[in-house]
Amino acid sequence: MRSRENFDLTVNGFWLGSSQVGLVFHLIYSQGAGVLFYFALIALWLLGSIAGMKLVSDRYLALKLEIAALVSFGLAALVARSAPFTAWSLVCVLLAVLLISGYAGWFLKSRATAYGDVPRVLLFENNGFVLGYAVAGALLFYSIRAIDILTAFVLTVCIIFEVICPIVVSRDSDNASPPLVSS
Amino acid sequence: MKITRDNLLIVDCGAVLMLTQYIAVREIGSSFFSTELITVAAVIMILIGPSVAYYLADRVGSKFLAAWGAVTFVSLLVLPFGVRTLVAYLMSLNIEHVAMLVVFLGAGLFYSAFFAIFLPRMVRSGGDFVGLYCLELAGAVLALVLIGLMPTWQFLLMAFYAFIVLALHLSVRSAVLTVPALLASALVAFYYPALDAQAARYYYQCYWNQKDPHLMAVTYSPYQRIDVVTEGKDRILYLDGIPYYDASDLFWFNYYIAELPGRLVADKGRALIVGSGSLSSTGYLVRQGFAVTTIEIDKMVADFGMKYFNDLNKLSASDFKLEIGDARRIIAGLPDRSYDLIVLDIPAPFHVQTALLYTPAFFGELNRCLKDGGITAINTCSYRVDDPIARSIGASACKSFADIRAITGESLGLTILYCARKLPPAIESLREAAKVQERQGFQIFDDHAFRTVVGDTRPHDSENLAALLLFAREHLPEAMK
Repeated sequence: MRSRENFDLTVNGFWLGSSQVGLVFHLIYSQGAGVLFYFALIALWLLGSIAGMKLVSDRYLALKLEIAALVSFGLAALVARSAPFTAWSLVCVLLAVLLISGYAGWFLKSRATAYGDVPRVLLFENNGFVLGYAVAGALLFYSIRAIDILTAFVLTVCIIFEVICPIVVSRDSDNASPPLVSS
Repeated sequence: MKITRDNLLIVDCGAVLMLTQYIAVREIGSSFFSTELITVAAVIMILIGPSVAYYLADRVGSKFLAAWGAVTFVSLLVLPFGVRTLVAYLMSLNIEHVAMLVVFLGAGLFYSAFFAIFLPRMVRSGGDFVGLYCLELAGAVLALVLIGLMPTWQFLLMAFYAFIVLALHLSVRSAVLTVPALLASALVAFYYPALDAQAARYYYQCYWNQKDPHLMAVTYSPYQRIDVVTEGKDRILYLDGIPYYDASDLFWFNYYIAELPGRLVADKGRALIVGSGSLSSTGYLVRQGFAVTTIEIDKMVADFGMKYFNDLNKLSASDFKLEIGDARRIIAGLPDRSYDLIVLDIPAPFHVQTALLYTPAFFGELNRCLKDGGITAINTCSYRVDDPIARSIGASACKSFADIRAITGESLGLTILYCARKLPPAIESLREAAKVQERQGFQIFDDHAFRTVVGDTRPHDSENLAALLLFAREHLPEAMK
């Protein structure tokens, strides 16, 4: 059971890390290397995570958010490439940042509640994030498209698993006791 | 939510984590040869810190925590000049790879880790995870705001030290640790300019083999560390620790990238220069009679060019038009066929943002803005024309321009491309024009010869940042390649 939980945390952390690298590249590509855009992305990521933690407490809403994150990530990659320096590309990238980080906030909250062991949740999620960041960072030198495809693939797998065998079955995840975990 | 000691500590830790990442990545990035690979590696090592903390959260006692806090405090206190000094020292022993190992491992263990341990420990003791995590994130947002508001790097460091001392005080709760920490950080913050100047002097001696360097000016812009270093009568502009302009050596770079193509253009109308540096290229073209527009992303680099290299560029602010912003964004808004000469006077593709300025898409934009009879001058960043870096950049140029000449100047030690839809007739006199000043010899490749050398090399483009990778590998320590 613990290994499945650890895997869940690592894989989700992985796509969050790789998506951040991908989105930073799409932002640089679509808006230029202005430092304000970069800070805006990081600030939005942090605020999105807070919003996800505070505002999302329903599993079905979280699932919709995860699907929206996938769609917005794909859209951001496409629009950033096809229409750089437009307001559309900026909106698409920042929307993807907001949705992905919003899901990240909910994800941590739900897993902390479901698994109970907060240090372990944080450890494996962060390990996954670092791994995703490192893999995407390496791919940056070889193929940007590969970062997008890898992120979208891992996220899609996570969505499928979330639908067919959900780990968290209760949505009252602000309540820290007792862990409500599917078998 | 109540303002408790624990809540304050978590907000503070969030701020320190963000500031540590920002400061450490910049210091590490400008102490080793600054490439995207170093930046990514530095970010990863800082991100590993929290994993170390989460692993240790339930396994360490208060004595260990106090010791770890003290070591972390010292590491962060000396970070703004210590990394540079350590790298220089180990470089002087010819063990740069050890320096890399020490700095990256140290970053993981003693920069960010300590500040991430409190959240899981507080949750374990009954704290509300959601509330505490949100506070930590809010602290990170606060740090971002501070980074934006602080007028100078030294002020940012003062804020950084204040946050660290506060975290130490709130976590260890020992006056024996807090008081000396406060005094030490106040002293270091006050003497920071002198400590940094000493570290930089030592660094340029060991890393760049300068005999007697003196730091004339230094600043941290939002993009990079900018140093002006003098040695005797020589003056060098360093960007993130990499020499960008050397008043004695890099005359030839400006000669080949700006002055020579400028002479070959019949209509001395409008010239566009991407990248300012010392503003020497701008100076040459202004004196040739061009109406020059210079694009620079980093205003501080242009300011330093005007202030510290004015005797060389001989420019006044009214001599040319300076546009501050991203070159790709600005050029996307320029009309077709609007410039007689375009000069790409930018650093080599060490980072993604500069790598995107060597792609066919960007070269295509330069071609669009070039008037008939004009020339675009591009640096291949390599001496040999058949070098993989030169070929990948050359392949990008071949995709975007129909007519190319390549010239490898011995005095310069680089190959420069002159490109256009159709180069002006004066290009045929390139050999004679180059002979006037170049005494060491040069080699010219015509369009066919250059395309033959490039062959079917995959271009450096936004899908495959080939030159970025090649540069990143090239500048790793020998033992790590």
